[in-house]
Order: sequence, then structure tokens, then C-alpha cells
Amino acid sequence: MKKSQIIPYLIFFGPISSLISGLLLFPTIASVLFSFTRWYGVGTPNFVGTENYERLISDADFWLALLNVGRYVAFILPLIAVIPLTLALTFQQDNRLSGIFKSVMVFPFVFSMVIEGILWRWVYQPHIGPMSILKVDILGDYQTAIYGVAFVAFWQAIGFYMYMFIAGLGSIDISLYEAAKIDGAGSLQAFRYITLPSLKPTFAFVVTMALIWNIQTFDPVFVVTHGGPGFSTFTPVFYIYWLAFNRQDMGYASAVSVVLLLLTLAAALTSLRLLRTGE
Amino acid sequence: MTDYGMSRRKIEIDSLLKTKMNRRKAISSAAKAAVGAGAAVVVAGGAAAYFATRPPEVVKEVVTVEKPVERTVVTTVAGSPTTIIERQTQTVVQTQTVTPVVKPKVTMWKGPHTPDDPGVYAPLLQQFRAQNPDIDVEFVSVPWDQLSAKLASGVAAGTICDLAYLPSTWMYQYANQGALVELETLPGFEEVKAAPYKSTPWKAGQFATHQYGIPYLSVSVVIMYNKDIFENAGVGPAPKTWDDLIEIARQVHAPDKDIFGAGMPLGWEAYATHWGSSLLYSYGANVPLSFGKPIPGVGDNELTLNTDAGVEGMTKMKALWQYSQKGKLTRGEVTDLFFAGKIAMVPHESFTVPLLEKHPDIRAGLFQLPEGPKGRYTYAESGYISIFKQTKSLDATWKFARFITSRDANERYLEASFLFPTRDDIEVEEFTRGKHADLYKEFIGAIQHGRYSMYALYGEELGRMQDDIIAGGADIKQTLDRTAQNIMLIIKASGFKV
Repeated sequence: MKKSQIIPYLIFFGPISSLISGLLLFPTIASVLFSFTRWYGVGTPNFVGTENYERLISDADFWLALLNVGRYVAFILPLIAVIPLTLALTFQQDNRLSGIFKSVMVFPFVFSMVIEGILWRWVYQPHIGPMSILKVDILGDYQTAIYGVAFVAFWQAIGFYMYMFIAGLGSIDISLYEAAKIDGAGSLQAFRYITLPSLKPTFAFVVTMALIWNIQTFDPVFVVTHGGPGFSTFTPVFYIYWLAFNRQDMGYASAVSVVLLLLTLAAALTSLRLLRTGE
Repeated sequence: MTDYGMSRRKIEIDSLLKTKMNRRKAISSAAKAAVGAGAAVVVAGGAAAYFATRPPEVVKEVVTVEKPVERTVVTTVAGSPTTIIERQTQTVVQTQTVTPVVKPKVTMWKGPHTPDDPGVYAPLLQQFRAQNPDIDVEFVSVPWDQLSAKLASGVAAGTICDLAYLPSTWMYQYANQGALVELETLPGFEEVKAAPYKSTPWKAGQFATHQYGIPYLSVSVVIMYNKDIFENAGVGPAPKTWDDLIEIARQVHAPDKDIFGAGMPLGWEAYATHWGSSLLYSYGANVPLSFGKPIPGVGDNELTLNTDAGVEGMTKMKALWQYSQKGKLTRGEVTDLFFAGKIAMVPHESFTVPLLEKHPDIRAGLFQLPEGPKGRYTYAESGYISIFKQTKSLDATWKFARFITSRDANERYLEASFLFPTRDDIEVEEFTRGKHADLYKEFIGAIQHGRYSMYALYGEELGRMQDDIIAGGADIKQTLDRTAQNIMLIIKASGFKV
């Protein structure tokens, strides 16, 4: 390569590479290094080898956090696959009513989870909120609290997923529907044999993003239940926060972060592979 | 149809995207990108270093100066020419080099004790700024549930404030970590020490022979009850033991009428801890106090949480929960229900008393937390103003610390917060001659039963432990064992030897 060609490389790659190195690569490498130490936030970290990873295997709270996030994701994924798609199919046309509805649906995604979480806490409150009519205690019940939080997260992102599906629907070639109509296909058949297969890449994107975001969920848990009651809504990221800032156990918190990174990567890659099979 | 050459361009782009890159090319491109990144990092680092280390900016200032001038004038005196020297002043304009003075900025963090702490502090800050125009001050009110994390990350990252209000446990924690300034090393400390501080809070501000905090306020907890609910159920006002209290809760509890025997939030909420910790201590289940530091008049520091005493205490707690409102409520929501006349009794701190003014229909009384086999214990402790060693301007910070702990400034905060003084020369009129003076007397009386200063440090662990036992149906002994283990981890993390 000529010298004159290096300058554009520097201009285009330099800033973004520096940002990636500084903001992503460095903290990741630092976390991996800290995960092999005992460090309480102050003083010098002491190298302890794989002790933190061994501790993790027998840590009931970590497994509970994983189980909770499993329940959370299992609850939210079917909702994401069905409801935003239904809304997208209903409101994909460009008319005034659809426009208003689509704008309204994106509001929760724009507002802060802190405000929305406080609002939902009031909604769920069994004594003075709307739930007091039903006498249902969603957040105080160990069995239902995690689903209460998951629903808040779903409600916030519903507009985003709806727009993804609208974009996906818009990219389907209209001539396919025309050909199907000529061949005598009904609406349901067109949906089953044209719409759904054509949306496969959109599903792959939506499900993978939802997996990554929701495995790493933190803010709805922090605002709505703060991990409670007890440890019943602890998720892995909330557990990392809890270890780092409540117990000041930074080394162990780093080990949990590293394991969570690997688990998220594995889940995302598996989802992509499964959803792209046969494309 | 004209496509303006788009099809051809699309084919070109497609073919470009489909072009496979061989390994050599890929390695070469990656190497170039790495060189680019390295160069950018060097440039960015250089720029950062320049801005971080550059000398203070030099400013040229235009000033007018009165300058003495001497003039020799030849004049005629008595017909003969005479030389005389005239002295005058002349105004000249000149430029001079000035090094601008950067005001030191002092930042204070504090968890709120009033609904509007920044509002209470605003006139104090204004007064300090007027007295010390060369110092800038900033007051940051940090919610209690975020303060612990903010302090911990601030100390670790070197972004901690200059001074903070610290409950005693946190003060010992950071003193133990070497993060706080030993106040006796500062000029004028003897004057501070000479102020009429009550001896217990003053001594509790010491750790390992050093003074790390200036006492700022004292808090205590008693149970507030709804007189109407008690009278309607025909029960007596002051239970002596925990069994008596649970029995009263049972008698007044009428969920079908929306009346609940006790107000108990779940999670880390002070009320939850106030019930649970008092119960545990009064049954003899001990949690180590402040990092092994013996509190005057208080027992040992042994961890006996996961013993038969702990199981007994938590069994009582579970019994009380049966007669409580349900739901994961916050402290504020429980208070709202109390003032809505739905809760019969709930532990309160003294700053709840002024709320009675807003609810004239609620007739409230107070009684001390009940006794257990090992006595009566309640949450009562002092909070301190401490200075972090990472402060960039120790002189200014010390000046501000002395100002806010001065008699007048301290009194103004206590009057607004309805909390108790730690020095004898402060008298809050509301406590002695106010409408609710009899209620405040109960709070002051509760201070003598003060015990669990660990509350700030282990509060979340204990709160979650309680949840698991009373609402989650977890095995009491196993849950106590796990919590004891976690508390030991926290003590270990704080660097204290156990």
C-alpha cells in the first residue's frame, strides 16, 4: 500500500478503533483480569487464580439469577414474537389513524425506564393502584414478581419491535401476493406461505436482539422491584451490580460478568443459527 | 422506465461486496487498521496529557494606574529665573500579566432526612458563599438506596465527593479502608472538640483512636399507632413484649374492612429492618456491629444470627407478617396507608411526626418497640460529617465542614428535619415546647435502647432475608445460615479482620 493510502485508513479507522478499544475492549479485558483476583474496590487486587469461577459453581444466588432470567426471557419472547407482529400487520398501512397509533406505540420506548418503572409500581400496587380492584399482588408474590417486571420491559419495547416488523413487511415483494391471489390463495394462506417465511430475517434479528437485551436486563428490575421480594427477581446483571456495590466483591462480580458474556454470546449465536436454518 | 443507471451501480456494489478477500489482504488490512488505531490512541493520549498537565492560563489585563510624575519647571521668582521640581500624579494605561485564581470547589453528598434537603441547604450554602467568596460549594442529595453504591464506586474510581454525611457504620467502613481524613490533624480541631458535644456520639465518631467524623444528628425509632383502631378493637396502647404486640396485631387485623395489624414493607426498606432487627436483637441473635468497634454500653460483636435465638426471632416475625398488609410496598407507601387509617401500627422515625399536621383525622400515639428475652433494642444512632482523603482542597473542605457543623447551621438543619441534636447547646423548640413535644419525648427516650448501627451496611441482606422467610416461605435456619455467610463476606470485603 502506498503511503498516501495510509492516511484515509487513519482517518476512517483511527477514531472508531480508538473508541472501541477505550470503551469496549479495555473494560472487557480489565473485567477478565479482575475475575482472577480478589478485589474489594480499594487497595490492590490479589491474584487468586480460578477461585472465583469455582465459587460460582456452588453459588445458589447465581443459579437463582440465571433461573430467573430464563423465566423472564421465556415469558417475554413469545410476547415479542406475536403481539408486535399483530400490531404491525394491523397498522402497516399509511393512513392518519395508523400514523397516530404508531407514534403513540413508540412513546414508551422514548421515555425513561425510571419514570415508567415508578408508574408501573403504582399500577401493580395492591392497595391503592388499579390492581387493588382485582386484589392481585403481582410484585409481592414470589411466583409472579419476575413476570410483572418482564411485562414492564415488554411494554416498553413493544413499539420498537412493531417498527421492526413493519419494516420487514414493507420489504416483501407485493407481486408475490398478487401471484398467490391469482393462484386462488386466501389471506391466511398468503400469511402462512408468503408473509411468515419472508419475515424470517426480521424474526432472526428481533429474537436475537430481544435475547441479548433481556438476558442483560437491569433497569426494570432496579426500578420496579430492586431484585425483591427477597432475591426473587434477581437477574444476572442485577446480581453483578449487587456483588460489586453492595458486597464490594469486585473480583467475583467480574467473574460473573465474564460468564454472563459467554452465555449471552452462546444464546445469541444459537438463536441466529436456528432462525437462519433453511433461509 | 429510466433508472438513472441505478441498476448498473447496484451490480457494481453487489460485485464489490461479493469479492472475496484473501488471507494476505485481510491480514494487511487488519494491520493497517491496528496501526491507525495505535496512532489515534497516541494522538488522543498526547492531547489528554497536554490538557491535563498544561500550566494555568496566563491572562493579559488592561488596567489604569495612578503614577507619580516629577517635572522640572523653570519659572521666574522675584525677577530671576529659578528651577523648581513639581510633583504630580498621572493616569496611565498599561497591560499586566495576571494568573487567574481558580476557586476551590467543595462537593458534599448526603442522603435526605427531609422531603427537600437541597431546599434546606440552599440558604446555608448561600451564607457560606457570602462568608467565603473564594470557595465554591455544591450540595448533592443522593437517594439512600443509591448512596452506598455511589460512595463505593466513588472511592474506587477516585471520583468521590470532598465530604459526606455518613451513618456511623459507613464512616467506620471508609475509615477502616483509609479513605477518610483524621480530623485531629487539621488546624482548629481543638475548637471543634471543645464544643459541647454529647459524649456518646462524639466518641462513636472515633475509629482506631482517630476522630473521623463530627456528630451531626441522631435518629431513633418508635412505633406509631392509630388510637382509633386500637380503641375500636378494645386493645391496650403499649404492648410490653413481642408476644403482646403480635396479639394486638391479631386483634385489630380486619383485612375485609381494609384494616391491617402491622405495616411491613418488603425488601430493603427501613421499616422492615426496624421490625426485624429489633426482634432479632431482643431475642439474642446478634449481628456484628461496627467492624468490631465496641459501641459504648453495647454488647459484643459476635455473629449469632444463625442460632436458635435467630430462629425464634424470625418465627415471631413470620407470625407478625400474618397480620400485616401484603404487597411489595415501599416505606412511603406504608406511611401513606397508615395515614389513610388502614394500618394499626408501624415503626417510624421522628420526621414522620410533622406529617400528622396534614392528617388531622388521624389520632396517633407512640410506644417503644417491645422487649424480648434479652431486652429492648431499637434503631438509634448518630450520623457524621466526614472528609474524604481524595479531596482536592482540604482547607476549603474543612472550612465548609466546620461551617455546617457549627451550632447555628446544625440547628437550622435539625429544625427542618425533626431529628435530634448531638450537642447540648442546640435546643429545637419543636421538641421541647411544640404541639407534639410529648411524641418527641418518646423518640428521645428510645435513644437509650439504640443498638443496630450495622443497619446501613447489612440492611439489604437482612431485608431480603426477612422477605424470604416471611413472604417466600423459605426455611428459617437455612436462610439465616446463608445470610450469616453473606454478612461475613461483607465484613471481609470491608477489610476488617474477623
